[in-house]
Amino acid sequence: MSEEAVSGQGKTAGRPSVAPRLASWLLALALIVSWQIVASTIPGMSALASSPLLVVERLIAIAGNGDLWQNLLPTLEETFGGLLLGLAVGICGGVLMARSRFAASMLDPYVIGINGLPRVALGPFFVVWFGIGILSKVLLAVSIVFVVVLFNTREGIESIDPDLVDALRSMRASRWQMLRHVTIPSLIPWLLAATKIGIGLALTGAVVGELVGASAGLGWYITNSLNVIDMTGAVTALLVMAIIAMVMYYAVLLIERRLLVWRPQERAR
Amino acid sequence: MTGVSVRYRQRGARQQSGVPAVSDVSFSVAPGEFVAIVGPSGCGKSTLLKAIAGLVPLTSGHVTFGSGPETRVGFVFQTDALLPWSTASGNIELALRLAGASVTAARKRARTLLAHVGLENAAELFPGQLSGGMRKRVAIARALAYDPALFLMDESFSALDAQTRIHVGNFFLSLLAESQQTVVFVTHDIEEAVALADRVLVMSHGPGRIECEIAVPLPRPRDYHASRFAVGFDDLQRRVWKALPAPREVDQ
Repeated sequence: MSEEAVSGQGKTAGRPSVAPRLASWLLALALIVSWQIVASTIPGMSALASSPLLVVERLIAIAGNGDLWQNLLPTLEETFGGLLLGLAVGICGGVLMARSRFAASMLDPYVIGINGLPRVALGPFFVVWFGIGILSKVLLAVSIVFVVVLFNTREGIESIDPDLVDALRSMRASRWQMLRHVTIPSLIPWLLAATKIGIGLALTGAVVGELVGASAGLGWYITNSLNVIDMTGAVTALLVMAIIAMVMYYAVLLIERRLLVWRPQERAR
Repeated sequence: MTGVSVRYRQRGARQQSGVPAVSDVSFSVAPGEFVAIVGPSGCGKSTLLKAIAGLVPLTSGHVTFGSGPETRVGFVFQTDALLPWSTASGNIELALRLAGASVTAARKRARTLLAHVGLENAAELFPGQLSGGMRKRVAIARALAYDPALFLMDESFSALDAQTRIHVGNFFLSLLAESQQTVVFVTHDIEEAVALADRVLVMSHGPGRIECEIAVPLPRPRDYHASRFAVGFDDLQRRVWKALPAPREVDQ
């Protein structure tokens, strides 16, 4: 009976073919080329929409004169700070609400209210209350990130397989052993999913905070550039943000592949 | 191996809703005996097993084993209930570690057990990489791991396809023939109950009580499938069927 083994591990389910990846790169190339063509053929267009060449030029310039790092660093700090704190707050809230019916009933209306609120509108408040430094941006990011984490944590705890709990209990596992072998591993996929969404949300919080009021950061760089109609500067900052988001996302993806090797769909990648 | 007897007196395990799941069930199981429990859905069969394993609190009555109020039970669920993030070997090792074995001892014993269930090559595979029958064998190996005084099985084979069920069923019977372990097996499948057990307990509608007890004098060793063609099997099966309460009309 052992030859029936290993379902879903066949070679056909192996790595995705290179074709879609190649197509993805080609699409990027096509977009960049047409942007360049439009910007350089239509008079006055490069002032309005900048151009790939101008952006690359600027990127090299600000990397050289230090502007890039001066503005990248605060945005990164705010994004990471917001993401990590948002994860912490969300996990605590989610565990609390999943474990206590009282807490769940009591806090539900608030969580739903906060979730429905467009939290970027809190940006100006936070800048007034917590200053133009990093703190106001971190808190804004936290306010956006934690709800997703909370929902996922709660759902993750509620969807723990009761048979696994019974199996471990029948083996006389302690509370700590249950946490370590069942609860935490069950939550990991949910938390990774929340983190992937949280990256974009944290970046949004950080940048909106900077747009509202800051003295450094990529959002501040955009406001500054647009004040003098420097489109290339603004677009360059946007590009850097997109790169941050992609790098962070792929980093989480790498972690996910390591942590979730047990899932057939992860092995197939 | 210590002898095991399970006794219930005045039991009324209640589910969260406050509806009694099982009331006043008493029975005992002799060491080495295979007892099957059949009954209509919702009669509290599974609750009964969980009560024996100490997974649900009793509202009244008590469970005793030959050795005292606590014993090692090997629980095999309807699902395989293996940790999906742990390899076949890891799942068995965990059971051993929870029973107090050292890391290296657990590792060695897990290999032996896997070889015993014919899965030595699957040790480092995750449950998601195994077929249903293989997962079930790992689950049985895990239950075997800490030398249970008692096997508790909750429709353990019902999720398997017919052919795999016969394979795994026979495999389990051969393990039992070696180890002489005591088994309480819950099922809704009358044929399976008669084919496997020394004694079949028939339960009433919930809150479940034991309606009657039917001894199965078929010879051992048995075959999970072939014993269904033994002389007297039909008759035993009919007796169990008759003892089962008629299905309740469902009004919606």
